[in-house]
Amino acid sequence: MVSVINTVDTSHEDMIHDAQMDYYGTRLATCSSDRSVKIFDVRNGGQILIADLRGHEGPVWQVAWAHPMYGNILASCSYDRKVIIWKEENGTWEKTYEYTGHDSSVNSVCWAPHDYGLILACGSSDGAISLLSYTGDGQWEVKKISNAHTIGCNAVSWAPAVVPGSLIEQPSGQKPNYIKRFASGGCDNLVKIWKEEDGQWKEEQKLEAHSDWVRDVAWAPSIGLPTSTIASCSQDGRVFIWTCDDASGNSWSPKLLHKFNDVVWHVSWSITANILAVSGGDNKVTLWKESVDGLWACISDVNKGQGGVSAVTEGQQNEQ
Amino acid sequence: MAQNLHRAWVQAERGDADVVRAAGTSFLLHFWAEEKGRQERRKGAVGKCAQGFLRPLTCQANLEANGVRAANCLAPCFAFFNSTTACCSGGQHEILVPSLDVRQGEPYSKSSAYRDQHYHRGYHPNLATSPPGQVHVFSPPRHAAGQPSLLLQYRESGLSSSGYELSQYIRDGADHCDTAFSESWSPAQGGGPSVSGLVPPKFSLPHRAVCFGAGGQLVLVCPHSPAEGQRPLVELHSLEVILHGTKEQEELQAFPGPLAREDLHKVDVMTFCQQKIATSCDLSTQRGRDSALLWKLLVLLCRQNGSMVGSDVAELLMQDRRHQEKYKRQNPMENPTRLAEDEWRQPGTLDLITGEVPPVVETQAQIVEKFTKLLYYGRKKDALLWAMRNQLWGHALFLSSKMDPRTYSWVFTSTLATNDPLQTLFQLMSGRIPQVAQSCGDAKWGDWRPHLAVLLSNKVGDMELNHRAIITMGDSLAGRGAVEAAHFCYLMADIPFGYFGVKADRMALLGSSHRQAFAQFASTEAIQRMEIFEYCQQLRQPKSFLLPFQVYKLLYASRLADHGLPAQALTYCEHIATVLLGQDPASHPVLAQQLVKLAERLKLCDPLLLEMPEQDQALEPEWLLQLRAHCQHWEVRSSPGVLPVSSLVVVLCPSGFPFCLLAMGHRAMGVSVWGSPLTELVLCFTLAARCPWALPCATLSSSLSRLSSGSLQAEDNLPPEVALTQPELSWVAASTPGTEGEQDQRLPA
Repeated sequence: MVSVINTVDTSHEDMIHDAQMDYYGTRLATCSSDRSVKIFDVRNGGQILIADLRGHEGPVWQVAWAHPMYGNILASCSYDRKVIIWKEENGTWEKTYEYTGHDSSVNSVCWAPHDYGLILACGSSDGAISLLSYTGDGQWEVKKISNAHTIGCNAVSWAPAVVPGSLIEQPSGQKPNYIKRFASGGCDNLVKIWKEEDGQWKEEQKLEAHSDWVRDVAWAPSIGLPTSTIASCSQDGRVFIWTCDDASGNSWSPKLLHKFNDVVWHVSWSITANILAVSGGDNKVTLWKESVDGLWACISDVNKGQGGVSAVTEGQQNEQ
Repeated sequence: MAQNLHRAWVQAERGDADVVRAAGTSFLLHFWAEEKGRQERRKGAVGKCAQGFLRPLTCQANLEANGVRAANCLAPCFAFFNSTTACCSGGQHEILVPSLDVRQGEPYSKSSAYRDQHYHRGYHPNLATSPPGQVHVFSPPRHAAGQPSLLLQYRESGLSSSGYELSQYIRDGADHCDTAFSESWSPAQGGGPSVSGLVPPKFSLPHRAVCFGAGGQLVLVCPHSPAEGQRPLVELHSLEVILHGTKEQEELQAFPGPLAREDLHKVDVMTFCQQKIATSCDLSTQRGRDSALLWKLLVLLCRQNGSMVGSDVAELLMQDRRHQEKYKRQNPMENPTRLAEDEWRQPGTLDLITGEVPPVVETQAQIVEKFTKLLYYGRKKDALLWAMRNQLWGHALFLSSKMDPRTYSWVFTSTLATNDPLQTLFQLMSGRIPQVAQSCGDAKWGDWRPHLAVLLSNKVGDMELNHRAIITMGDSLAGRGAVEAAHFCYLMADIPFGYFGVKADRMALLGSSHRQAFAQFASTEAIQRMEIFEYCQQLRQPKSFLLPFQVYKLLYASRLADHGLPAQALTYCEHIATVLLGQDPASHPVLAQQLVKLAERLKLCDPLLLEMPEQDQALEPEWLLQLRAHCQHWEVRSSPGVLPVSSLVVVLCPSGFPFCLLAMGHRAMGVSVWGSPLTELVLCFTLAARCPWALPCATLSSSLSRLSSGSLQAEDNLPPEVALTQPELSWVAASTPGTEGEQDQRLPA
């Protein structure tokens, strides 16, 4: 069966580096080496170009949608060291803020859970991570973690705003005490977890398992189940699933999802984290799911370029 | 190769700008030359990246190398170099050559050498580990000494590595010294603040970015190079189709949930249960049979609209017992009265009391006679035993009934095996918790079902005892790992469902132990089974919801959404919302919040939206609006904010409108202001998580705190100082971006 429901011709003039659906799955934002960011309305199989955003002067690596309660806001980051925040005002998209505080390529942007307000984390090749918080009246407050990753930071991803396990515990009526956290991965082969304490960002955990650059990290969304989960992938071809079961968030343990034969570029969770998509240097995308026994298995792979989908048989799984 | 590199870095160490430049160049050139050779051997089409930050660098290298294996590139490089130097002379622009500091634009010198080195280091962490400010000898990798450098390993092994990126660059530079790059990228084009330092780009080859969409899409970027004529496509796949045929999705699709649909017939539910018995219960094991029994119970409940009496269940318990178990006495009759039994056993011996020799075969009359005779001598217990041995049950019973109660019940039970269900019944009727309650689940005790059947069918006398006996039985079964059996008992005893986190609770999901790991506990099957049970309850009594269970419906909805079934997930969200709104949503705040989050994302997946006019599609369903309002209200109530908990206050503004301000505390999630029903003025706006609101809150709080939350009437005589002054009102308005207005929801007064 053909799984493609829509093929969007983006008209980008160079490689596309990221494509992100908005909160509702109705609009698609893409960014490219051609320095542009584009937004398409993809409802009902359509592909209407809503915006072609120009402002970057280098390849644009990543885009991120903010929660719609703040309006239609998109952040993008680029090799040109800039982070640009775009906003739709009266139907037109415009640049609303430009952050130029990094000394090198900005590789990753990620919005915090909306519960915390408008906060954007940005990871850069200069090794620093910036946190941009909207304080009203068009003002953004900047906090910077210098030297977060030696040589460079490749990815940032926020922890969900929910206390682990709180969904299934007996309700206490107490207001949960959210702690702001995010994960980052970098060229020092590390995944780090950062935690806000008294308004300051501190390194809480250093997760070591990869033997080469960490290419992507993705903190799993959560509806309040007991386990916190982070996926990380690396140049070394490995994908690790990091889990933490204790409420204090101190003991993280890695589980090797799989060792691929090539670099793994991306890891991405489904909207409530039941499925992990992994994309590697062989241009294959595989979907993984954890069984009730805690074992990760590939449940589907989407073949290179064809859009064809094949179910994974037992034999194939072992091969992988 | 390694020697060349080494030499280059030694040269660099001398610090002379020219030498350093040459060193960097030769380093790059060697690399490039090597790569060039490899490249030709490799696959023909290595992705040609167009961004080419390093291209000028390579050109520069080519220039300085003056034709060393790079003659074919020289001409275009010269052209490029001229253009960049031209830009550079403008003063503002930076030039992307290794011999210049890219930001300050100053000539390469010892002081700025770090920049370059940083850039080299950027290619791979193993290349340099020197502290800033020093150029150092090519340092050995941090891996075991004596091994060749990792970089070399990577190159020779052909593995991809971060270091390999450098080669990508240089290759690209060589490949792209044509017209393509000058139009696709020129650092001088921008004219504004210039491009970044020389770090490797995050991606230099096409790759497949991937993400999930809330509408059940999987978004995949085609790994194409538009610069080479491939189309820049992004594919949206249907997750439902991709996951078609997977075990997980089939399991979800087989279930007709949520079981609140109007079009649902209970036959569908019963059919589902029957299929579960047929497909997922291994009847050769006790656990499998127990599991099947739970499903059968659900079928029974469903058929009888949620009501049952003990005998119905007893029938169920006994129906598939193919053979009646034989309950054999394991021990010789225990004799609580310590009669010298053996003496009575041997017919033909002299009776010590009567002096007669008993006949071997006694007639009924003789037996009765002897019974009577024993009583003549006042030997009641002996007489009792005699009567029992000789089946004189009428005499035995009457006699014992006039003796002590213990003896009386012993008359029943001493003749039975301990695991005989009759024992269970008699023990219960004797006012004791039957022994089976503690012992069942043990292999030698046999099947637990007849015992439960007996307990259920004979609810007489002390109901509390009966109840306790069933619970004890469940506990014993649970302790021996027979979870389904235990839960069956608990259901019969009307044990309420509790929470996963509360280990003292006996059940959280029907048929699934909450003492195991969460993933195993909250299996899809367990949630489905539980929902059927809840459905059966509702057949008897509408709106009888199991509140602790609602979180599992949310979990189930999340699984549906992630397996490409968002529309069904949304119906679950609506169903849970209905349940919560019927109760106090504040009783389950986390559930309510997470439900709102998921429902918001899925709200456009409602198939009904397709039939609506477009302008209505943006409207949220009523249940979602209400639930969100409840969540916000709860946020306020439990927020340790600037204002006291009674933060609902009425403020008269100078224009006379009664306003209700909902102050949100220092973590201000939002502030809503709305008019009384009499006015048309409705202002709804949100202050996003920002501090400014805390300030006027603080100034007002002293006066406002005197008002209780009940004072919502406009006609209240409010102290004058409570009124918001016009400046304050305008402050509130000014500090609120108008665009956020529509996002917020009105709060019910």
